[in-house]
Formats: sequence, structure tokens, C-alpha cells
Amino acid sequence: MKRTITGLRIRERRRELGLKQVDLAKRVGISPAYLNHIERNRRTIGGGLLVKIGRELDLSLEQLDGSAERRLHNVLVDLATDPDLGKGQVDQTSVDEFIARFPGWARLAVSAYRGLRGAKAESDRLRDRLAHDPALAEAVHAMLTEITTLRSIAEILDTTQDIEPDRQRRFQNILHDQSRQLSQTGSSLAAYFDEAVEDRRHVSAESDAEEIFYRHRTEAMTAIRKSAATLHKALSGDGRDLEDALLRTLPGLSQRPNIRDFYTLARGERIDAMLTHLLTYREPPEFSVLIDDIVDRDDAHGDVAGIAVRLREILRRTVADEIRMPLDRFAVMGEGCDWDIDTLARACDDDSGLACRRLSLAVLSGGIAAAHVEIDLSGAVLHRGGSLDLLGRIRDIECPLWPVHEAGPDRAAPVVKSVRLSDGEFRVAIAVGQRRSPRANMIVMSPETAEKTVYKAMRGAAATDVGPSCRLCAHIGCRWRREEAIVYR
Amino acid sequence: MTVRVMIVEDEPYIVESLEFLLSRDGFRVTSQSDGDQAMRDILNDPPDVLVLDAMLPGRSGFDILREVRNTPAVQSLPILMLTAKGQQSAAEDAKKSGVSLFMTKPFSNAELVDAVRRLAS
Repeated sequence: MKRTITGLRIRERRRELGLKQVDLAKRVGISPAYLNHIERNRRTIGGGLLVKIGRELDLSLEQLDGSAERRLHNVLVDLATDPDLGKGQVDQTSVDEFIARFPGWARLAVSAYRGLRGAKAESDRLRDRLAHDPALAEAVHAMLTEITTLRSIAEILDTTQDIEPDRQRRFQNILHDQSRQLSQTGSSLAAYFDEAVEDRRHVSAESDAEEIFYRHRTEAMTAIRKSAATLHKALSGDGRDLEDALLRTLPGLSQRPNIRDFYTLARGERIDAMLTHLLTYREPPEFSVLIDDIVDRDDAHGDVAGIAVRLREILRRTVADEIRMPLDRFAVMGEGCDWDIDTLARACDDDSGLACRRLSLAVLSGGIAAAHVEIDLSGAVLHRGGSLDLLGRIRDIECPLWPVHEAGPDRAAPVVKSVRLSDGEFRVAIAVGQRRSPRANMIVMSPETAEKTVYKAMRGAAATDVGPSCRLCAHIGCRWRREEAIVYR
Repeated sequence: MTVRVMIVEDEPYIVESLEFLLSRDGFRVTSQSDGDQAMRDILNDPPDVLVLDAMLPGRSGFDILREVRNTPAVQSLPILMLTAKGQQSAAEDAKKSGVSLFMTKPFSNAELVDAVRRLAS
């Protein structure tokens, strides 16, 4: 489905409302000739202007730019070719006609198909969890052991006639104790599965977007580099400083950010905030296409709109990062200083967040593989990025023994630790506070990767046991445990 | 001569029930709950039959199985392995490592005693 629908939509809707071109142009602050070009699809528009036109015409962004139809089209093609549903029974070329003639049925079919895919993904996830989650494996093992004891003792009591009274009482006590333990294990397992489903419902949009970005980061980086190059050229093409160029550009925006607020921040952070804001209002045209494409191909389900919003934020932030510190340049600097985070942060306007975000993507420019987590001082995770697999199967870092919880804004030196995850894998984690900000960042890498860095001494160092949350953590004997695990041993 | 059975299992209630059952069937029973100590005991004074749990603190049941099969002095020791984890893959691993018999928890008492009798004969 071609992206030529926007101009047509605007014209149709304007006519429906009885508006003249000149009136709508005046309301949104552009010339009638420019609006004419837009309506004839001779100009591509996005960002602030599209939002403004949508507001005047009472149309959503999705209705205007055709992304809703594109998504419908893509999902219906997937439905038509889904091998589980009898591939080849539907003529794919009729998809657009189906959408045009029966839009309501098309949306209903997509909704039902998304539900089916969601249920399948959930069942795959639970099956995967049953097979690999160390805490769950322990709980199942505990339950089978308790059942074995109960069965064996009950059989003895049932089939042995001449059992001594003392022994009989002893076995009855064991039955009582094991049945109590089994009921606890069973209740905990039921709560565990309930929680797993709840977790999926409530935290999915943000974490799903981070996972999707991680899986498609190579192709996303191509779009990010292109957008960054275009924007950088537009802003500093005349050779003047990037910040000056940004300030000169901002007054031309339809909705100005509060510049006075920006001046209260440090220079690097001000540039960062302005770039991110600017990208919100002048969204690169690559973003919509990329998001639609990877959301569909990734079979995303649940809060798809929420995932798209979070993906947009990640893309904007990464374009702003790319302008401030291009990944290729960062990778060369990283090799030069053996990936010392202090040195890299100084090279990034003294912004450790920027240095860590760049480091987490450095593998795309031939650098090392690392994951990045940003938290605020309340412990809430604000961002996860880079090679997320390094954080373990469950990506949470709720455990207070992760070094990121020790790094604050006033801490001068990074906190470096060797850690052992709940599944037994070892990692090296480096945490740094963020200047003038109640935030901290952490880089996580494998011991093999740490060998190539200034942190190589951490390979083989005594490791701290860390987990996701206490409930899911398999380090049962941990003295800092604040909540029972689902395993009773 | 009385047949000696060693139970290597870290769940005390299971050990207690197995000791009771096998003793009543005429076996002389000893037990050990730690994998490392069990391996030392096997080498010092080999039993006639070994009932071995797969998951143990210290050395696992699979480690003990492999070590026994690689030690000439005890490599023909009959071993009944018990497991409650990953039944299909654990059975295949145990088979590859040379287990004599394999039983998954929960088992029936009659099946277990019968298996030990077969191994003892």
C-alpha cells in the first residue's frame, strides 16, 4: 500500500467540513499554495504540521498518514499466509480490496488474529519458562519431591500391618509436615503464574518496545544514521555551532518548547533536550515506516499503540545521541581507551548516560557487546538497551545487590563488580552516577568481553550473587532476601 | 550374605522411607546426603547396589554416575538413579552415562524395591 494517502485524506476531509484551502492553510500557518502541494501529494509532511492539520480536521495521526491502513494490510497479509491457518487458501492480492469494501470486517479479522497470536505467544512463553526458568524448575522439583515422600509414606502406612507404634506416629508426622509444605509450594506456583500473566499485561509496552528495538537494532540504526545526518546537516550546515543552530531553528516551530527551562541545564544536556524536542516536532519520515515495519514483523501484540509510542521515544533519543556522538567515532575512542567508562563519559560532554547508551550500541560499529540500564534513585528502571540478553532471561534488576543501586550523583568513581546471575552465568557490571541528576547508569558485559577492557581484572574476581526480584531469584540462601522465593527448601 | 544398599539422597524423609522399606526387605542400608562425601564412601567401601538421586548438593548424581563408571575398582557397581527433573532428557543423559536402571519421582514403593532386588541379583 503506497504512502500517497495523506494528501487525499486532507482534501476529502476538508471538503467534508466545507473548508476552503485558503481557510485551512491560514489556520495551520502555511500558504494555500503549500497546502495545495500537500493535498496533491507533491510534498511529504510529518511531525508538528501533520498534528496541527489533524487537529483542525478532527482526524488522528494514524488516520491521516495512512499508517492504520498499512498496519491492517500487513497483518491481513500475515493472516492470509499464516502456515498454522492453512496457507494458500486466500488470494493476497485481494487484501486491499477487502479493506476498502469491508473496513469493519477487516479490523475485526485483524483484532481476532492479533488475539490468536497473542495467546500463542503467551503459551510459547510459558512453555519456554517451564523449560528454562531456574526458579520454576526448582519449584517443580520441590513439588515432585514432596509428592514422592507423601506417596511412599502413605503406601507404607496403608500396606504394612505390623508397624511399631513409634514408627507409625513418626510417619504420620511426616505426612502432616509434607502435606503442609506441598500446599505452600502449590499456592506459590499458582501465584507465580498469576503474577507472570499480570506482569505481561502491565509492563509489556515499554519492555516489549526495548526488546523489539534490540532485535531490529541493525536495521533501525540505518534509519537513525540517515535521520541524524539529515538533521545535523540542516542544523549546522553553515558551520555555526550546533547549539546556536538549534536555538535559531526553534522559533520557527509551531509549538515552542520552553527555552528558559533549557538554559537552567548544562550545555550537553540542553542540547540533548532540545534535539529530542525538535525531533518530536520534526519527526524524520523514516520513523513511521520503520516502526510499522518492525512492529508488524515482530508479531507484536497487546498494547501495540503503546509499543509504537515507546519505540518513537527510543528512536528520537538515539538520533539525538547519534548527532551528539556518532557511533563510529565513539567506537574508535572506545578502542583507544580500552572502553574505560570514565574516559568515554568525559568525551561525551561529561554525560555518563550518553556514554553508556552509546557503549550499549557500540557492537554495531565493531565495538564490544554490552547491555545498559538507566535507573533513577528510587530504583525505577527508566531505560534498558543494547545486548539485553546479557541481563539474563528475566531482564529485571530489582535486586539491590546490582552495583547500579550503589552509584549516585555524588559518587566520584564507578562501582565495578563481578556478578553471578540467577541462572549461574557470570557478568561484569560497571555503574556510574549521572552528573546533576538523580539517575545512575550501568553497563553489563560478559567476562570474556571484559577481558578486552580496562575491567579485565574483574574476570575471576569473587562474584556477588544477583537476581531479578527475590520472588524469581534462585539464590535461595541470600541474606538480603526480602521476599520468599517460590521454592521452599 | 546380606546385600548392602547405599542411598544417596538429600531429602531426609525420602531417605527415611527408603531405609524402612529396604531394611524390611532384608537389605543392609546406609545413606549419604552429600555428593562429595558419597563419592568418598563409595570408593572406600563400595556397596552392592547404589540408589542415587540426580540432584544433590556438592557433586550431582550425574557426576557421581560418570565418576563411578570411569573408576575401574567400582565401574560395574549397579546403580538405580532417581530424578524429579526434566524426565526425558535426564533419562537420556543417565543412559548415556551408563546407569543400570532409572526411575522418576514420584515412584511406587513396590516398583522401587523390585528394581533394587533386580540389581542385587
